[in-house]
Amino acid sequence: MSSNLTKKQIEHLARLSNLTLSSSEEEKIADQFDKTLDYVSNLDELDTSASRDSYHMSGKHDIFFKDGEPNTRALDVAKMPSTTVISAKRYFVVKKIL
Amino acid sequence: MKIGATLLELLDGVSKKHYTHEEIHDYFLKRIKSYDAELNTYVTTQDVSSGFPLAIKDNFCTNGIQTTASSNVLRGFIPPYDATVVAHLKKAGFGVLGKTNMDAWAHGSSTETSDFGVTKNPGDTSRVAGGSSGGSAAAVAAYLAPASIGSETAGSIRQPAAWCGVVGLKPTYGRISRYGVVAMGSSWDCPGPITSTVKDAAYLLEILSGHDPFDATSSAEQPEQYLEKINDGEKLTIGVAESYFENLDAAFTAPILEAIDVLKKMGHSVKPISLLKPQYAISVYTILQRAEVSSNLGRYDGVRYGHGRDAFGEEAKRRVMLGTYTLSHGYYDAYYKKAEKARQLIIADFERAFTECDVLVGPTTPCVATKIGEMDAYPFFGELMDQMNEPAAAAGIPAINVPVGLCESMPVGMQIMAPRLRELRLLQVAHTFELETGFFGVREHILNKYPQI
Repeated sequence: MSSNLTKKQIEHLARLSNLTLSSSEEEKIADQFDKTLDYVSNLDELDTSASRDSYHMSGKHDIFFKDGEPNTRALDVAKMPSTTVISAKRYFVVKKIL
Repeated sequence: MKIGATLLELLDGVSKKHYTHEEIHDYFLKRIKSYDAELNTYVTTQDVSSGFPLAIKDNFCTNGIQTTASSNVLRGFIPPYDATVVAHLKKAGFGVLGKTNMDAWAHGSSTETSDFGVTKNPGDTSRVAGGSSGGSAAAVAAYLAPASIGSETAGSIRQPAAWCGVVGLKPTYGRISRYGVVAMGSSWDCPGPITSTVKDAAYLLEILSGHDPFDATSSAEQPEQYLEKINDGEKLTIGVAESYFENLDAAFTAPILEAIDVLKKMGHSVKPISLLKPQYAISVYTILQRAEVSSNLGRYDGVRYGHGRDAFGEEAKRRVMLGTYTLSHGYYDAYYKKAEKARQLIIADFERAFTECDVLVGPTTPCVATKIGEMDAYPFFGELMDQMNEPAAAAGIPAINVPVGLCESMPVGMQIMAPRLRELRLLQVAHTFELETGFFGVREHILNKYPQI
């Protein structure tokens, strides 16, 4: 496990992450990537062949709301935080992407 | 009002009408006004009492009260609902005294990543309080709150509790609902109490625990009567996690070894237990937590709440980037899947250990609280300072920090770990240890620095 990411790859990851990074941040992150990935390579010392591919801490699975159950979690649009912008038709307003 | 009165003593005083919750609220507000300018334990305080006052970490949504997770992204965000933890507390008669400082998004182990300034250690203000629940732990230690609520992904309750000399309980994953907590690592996050006594922790755990239909991962198993049964402990076989002591300074481990001797003298049987080295848990945590962070922080786009993604601090950006990388095509198997599989080995390791002993003990941290700014000297500061906490967090088992003495005049903590959902066993051992030792006067040592006003 090792990275040695190129500047282009860092920029690509930043785009995937929806982050804008300065040049100095890109450099610092690239350096930290290498140190981090070097460290976590100690997992290669462990034999994980008997482990399952997927797992969840709770041990639970297939959890659904039943049809017809009232959605008591739904929030009132009128109480949305002041930082949000909601249109007259009660939609969130976002920037145009096209 | 007596300085240092415990949560249960104060509640008893209210029920006997010696004082009202409003008077207690004002008492703590006065202390906050006197001492918090230097300690910086709170992001927000409430001037008016709405119930018996408790401090709540600023990543729990509180209806009508600013909730920032100590990040500029959420500065000014006022949630329109309560986290389940807060709802439970309100139902039990509690109100919010204030929202406590933390590492931004809970990313860190010193509160130095907070966009609201570092929380200083009440034992020595040139040192950090620990984190991420640093404000919650320091507020209890300096008696700026009768008790507080923190949250832990991997050490964020136990580690600051150890560095500030208070009790910090991380329950089993799923024991307490995560609904309304600003999400960090969804398969790790656990809310929990930070208190001055074990009985206070037991009392709060009982209020907070239980299945929540709003959190699909919350446990359906009924909580126990933690407070009522706290004195019913039996003599146990206590395993000493040997690998947790490797490479630690002898002066630092001395109080922990002394505490283990006390447990032996109390009639418990003590034996060494071999566990996987914590360094593997560091790697599992680093990979899985970053992956979950990159997913969870994806929602902060300034549309539905908070400000835009430019407001993220350096640490959050670093974690999101690494998480995006380990989840991306071509690297998923090498990192994320490998770490998921290694996590199962850690779980199996604890299950094996608990066939040989009832609880495990070991140091909570590798050293005493570090100096402010020391974080910059370590590329892996958080992971190193939380290294003894990460295995139990990876396995989702409960663990509690108890103060066991001082080193360099700073608190030293010992953690006790138990099998899943066996919080009662933890509380019983920790409580009898407290009765036997009085936590070696650690609390009084800190409180003397913050006298009655």
